[in-house]
Amino acid sequence: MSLIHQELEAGTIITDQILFNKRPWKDLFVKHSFFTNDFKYYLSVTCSSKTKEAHRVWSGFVESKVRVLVQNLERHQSISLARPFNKGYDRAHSCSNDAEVDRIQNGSLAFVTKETKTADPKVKTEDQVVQTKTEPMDTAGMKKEEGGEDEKVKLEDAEPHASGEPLEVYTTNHYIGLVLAEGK
Amino acid sequence: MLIPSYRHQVLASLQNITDAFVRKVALEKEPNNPVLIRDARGKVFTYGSFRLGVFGPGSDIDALVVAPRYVTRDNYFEYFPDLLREMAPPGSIEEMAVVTDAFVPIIKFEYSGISIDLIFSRIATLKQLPADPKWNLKDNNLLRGLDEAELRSLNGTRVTDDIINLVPEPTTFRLALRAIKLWAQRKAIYANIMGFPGGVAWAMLVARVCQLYPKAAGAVIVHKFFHLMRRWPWPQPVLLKAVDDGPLQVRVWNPKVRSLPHFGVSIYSYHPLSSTKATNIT
Repeated sequence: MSLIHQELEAGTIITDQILFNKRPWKDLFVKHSFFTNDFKYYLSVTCSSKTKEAHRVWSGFVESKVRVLVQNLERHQSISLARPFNKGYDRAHSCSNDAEVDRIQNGSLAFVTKETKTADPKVKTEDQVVQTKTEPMDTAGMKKEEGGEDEKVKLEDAEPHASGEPLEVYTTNHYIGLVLAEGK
Repeated sequence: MLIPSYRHQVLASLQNITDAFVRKVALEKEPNNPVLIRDARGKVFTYGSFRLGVFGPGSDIDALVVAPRYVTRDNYFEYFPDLLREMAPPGSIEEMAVVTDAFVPIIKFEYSGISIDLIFSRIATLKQLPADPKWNLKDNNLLRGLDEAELRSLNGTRVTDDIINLVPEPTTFRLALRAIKLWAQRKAIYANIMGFPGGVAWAMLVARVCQLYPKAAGAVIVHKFFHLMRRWPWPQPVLLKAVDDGPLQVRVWNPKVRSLPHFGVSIYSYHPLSSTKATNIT
């Protein structure tokens, strides 16, 4: 049964009870538990750019391909369900050298200066920080994020950027929840 | 928070810019035709959540520029961005992105902080657009002689108008749709681009429920929505009106939703910038 049908089933039960005055309407609008309860494994796709303008085009392109990735993931023999989160997370980062740019591209949230959810400004105040767990998987070319553990910034280890100007990096993250197939 | 009337001011400004744009093209193409130049005008239509009246404080405005037949899409992309910057208050236009090769070619920008998706189509059968403010795009004959991209651009407004005209009580419909939209967003099953139903698809489903229970209050519509959609015999389409045979051998122009997408079996073909394509599934 598809995900949407599951939600419709749940909505039916809740609204039945609401109409009998047994539950309040707010129960229908309880938030999803995509990041908090639904999955043991998550895959994070990061795309990054050095300018805002370039990022607008690049992230739009990547966003349009997430669905294709999800479809292909579902065909993988080890994966029984792949569900994309419906929005991407836009983040702006500021850092001082290429090593830090690398870390941002590998999913570090240590340099975030601004974060918004794409395409839905109405709810952007909700879940500001997302923590993801991923397990190394055989999906070549994918950037993975080792979330949960806080990465500490060690500025003294890093070579300062030549010009001294902070480097701006823009990223968009898409999260895909995974259910693995039962092991043999 | 922005009040609705502010959006209407922005739209009025876009209408002015559109008229100036059409006049400019008229001057260039037919410099010896003063009557044509004098009466040259375009028209801005809205579609999507703004047209349906279910927009929130952060919603964007989806709008369509319609022009007479001598104005081409190339003209639109050549002149419109510059006119927009010249004619809008200084500094009010930000983050402009012109996407000429999309499924539906588009100019995206922010006008005083409101993000706007502006698409374009000409009407190949009209040399002048009627001055009547009630003029609309309902007539199928207006589609004659247009290419696929132009048809897709017109489709958004036509479908949204259809939906709002086909529900018995628009006020009840809006209220119920707001509830369903909130529900779908909270459950993270709202977004065309990821293969979930988008704004138009959810709107059509709610509209169908409204038709079946014409006297019901919003709360009842929401309740019936779940009961009906849960048991809908997919892939039987959700139709808001009988299929009408237009004069054109084009796609089905009747708004409908044929199936709720499972992942991997999705009827929602990719469309980068707007949600309207979910409606003309063949």
